[in-house]
Amino acid sequence: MLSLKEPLSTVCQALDSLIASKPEKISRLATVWGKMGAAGFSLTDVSGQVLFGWPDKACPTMHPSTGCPIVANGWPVGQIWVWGLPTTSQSWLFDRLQTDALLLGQWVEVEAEIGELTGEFIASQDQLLALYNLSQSLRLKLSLPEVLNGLATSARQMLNAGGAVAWWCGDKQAPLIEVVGQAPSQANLRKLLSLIPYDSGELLSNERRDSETANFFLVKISLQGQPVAGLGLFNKPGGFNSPERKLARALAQQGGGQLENTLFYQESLAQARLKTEMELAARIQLQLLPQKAPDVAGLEIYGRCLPALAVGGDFYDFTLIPNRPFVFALGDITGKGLPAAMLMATTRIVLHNAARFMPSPSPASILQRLTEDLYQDFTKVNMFATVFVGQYDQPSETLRFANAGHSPVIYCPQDGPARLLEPDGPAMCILSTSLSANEEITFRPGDVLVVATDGFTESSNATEEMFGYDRLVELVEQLCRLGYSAKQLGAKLFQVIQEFSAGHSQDDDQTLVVIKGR
Amino acid sequence: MEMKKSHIGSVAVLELSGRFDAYVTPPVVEWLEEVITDQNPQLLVNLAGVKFIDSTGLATLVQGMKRCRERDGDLYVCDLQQSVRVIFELTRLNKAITVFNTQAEALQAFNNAFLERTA
Repeated sequence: MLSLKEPLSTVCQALDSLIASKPEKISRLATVWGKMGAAGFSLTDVSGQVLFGWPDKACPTMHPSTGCPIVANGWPVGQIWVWGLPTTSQSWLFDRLQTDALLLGQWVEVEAEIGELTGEFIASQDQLLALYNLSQSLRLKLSLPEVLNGLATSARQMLNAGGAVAWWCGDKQAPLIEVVGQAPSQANLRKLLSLIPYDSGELLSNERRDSETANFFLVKISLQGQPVAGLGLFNKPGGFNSPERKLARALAQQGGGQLENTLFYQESLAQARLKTEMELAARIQLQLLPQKAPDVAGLEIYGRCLPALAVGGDFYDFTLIPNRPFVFALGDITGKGLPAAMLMATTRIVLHNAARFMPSPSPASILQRLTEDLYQDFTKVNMFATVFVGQYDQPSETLRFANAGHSPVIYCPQDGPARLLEPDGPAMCILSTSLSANEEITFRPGDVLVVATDGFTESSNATEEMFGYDRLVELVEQLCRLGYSAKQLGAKLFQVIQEFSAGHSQDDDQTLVVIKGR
Repeated sequence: MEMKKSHIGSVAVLELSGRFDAYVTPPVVEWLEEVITDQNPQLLVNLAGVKFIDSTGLATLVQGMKRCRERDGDLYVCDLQQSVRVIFELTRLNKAITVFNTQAEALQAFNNAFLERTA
């Protein structure tokens, strides 16, 4: 039942539209009156204008007529008229007319209600469409401003508000606010946002505060438990009562889900980009290491690096200059990942150039040069490096070396047991000068030198047991006795470590250089 | 890992126990920043309770030592367990950082250094 508060016009229009939509039924009514002896029948609106007339649209005031008001929802909406009946029929005539008027009135009420319901139905269809559009925007993988804009647009449409805003406070100071329709300025919005109480997360005003804002309702949205976003509606005719607030909250919830998805998607994109860059960096890094072993008379050479993360701090280098003894080196910058990789790049170059361009380098002098060149930079970033430098002189069949804090270095002569060559001084760049001195060992055909990084000795298995130095030394000795070539030795060492540490992540870079006399 | 900070005279003492690895270095670095202020900082790191130290732990001690020496001070370590002593020797770190057997010896050495300076 429509309430008395209904505007008069809708019901009056209902009489008009009733006549327009059901002319044959009204005509039937008229012809029956005719059969009962009436000369004319008409329906008029409240101002007397004839809406329907039989046999023609003659004005009822032109004849002596009997009329009765048609009332719908307590409002008079028109009159029903009949004339030309003999006066002897007065009593039943008026009863009959009244009954017709009553029925017409009820008919008008029902038609008006149907009209009203149809209107509401269309509006709710609209709302459903808006809701659908809102959820579709998620699948389009829009940017954050676009999602906020979509939310504000849909909310404004569904709540029939003058304007809507949707905001997100990221890690930056000023919130990102998308505005649709008629809403306060960005500055005023920010002020309003700051007024939202923390506990309720909502701010309502159904009273006019200034010339541009008649009413508003703001509701915060929690993303991952933090109230960092929100939805606001402005200038709704009729204000924000309980049903409107409920709808706004529901929309805010929906919007929250989408915002979370968008943020997550953006983060995944950023991570994917970073991963691609790291993979590129890793390729470059590995390509900068010696790609194949140089051909040195009297030696078999093997070198390989397996970083723990995409990029690492381990390196090895070979320097072969005509008429100079072959120089090789292996190093381990503290740490791993990008920071170590950055320093590794510099260290490798400086070392290589020292080996190439110093007039008559020895391993100790190379280390000294390296320390002088790199000490300041390394100290600035609180890093240092363990480095082993070896130099092979074929005529004398000797291997000279200097070791700054590096291990494991394993020497296995053909006719003796394998042993660790211990470092002479601490790691490079701990002190401002190098303390490592030159040492010499004989290196004849069949002798083997294995220089590895602690990624080998410290590799752990599934039960957190470390491989250790002893096991490595034993393994090297075994493989030497079996007569493995440098390449076979290298490959086998990597294989054993892989098998040992299966089931455990690789925590450190694994780098290996194997030199064998031939 | 447990940390106990104290002052004995003008020496700032840090007693560590447990594993000295990457997870443990941030609070130690914080302590370094607290106690290395003006001139002649004297720092003693007592490793009696430390069973294992890795390269990040060593790097932190080196960092502390360098900073102290930049300000005409020094950082000593003392009471090394066998496993840690082996690491120090293997890496020859004992040639860069002064190692004492006991806290008393370390404090005495600091005292001597102080006397030499002010003589």
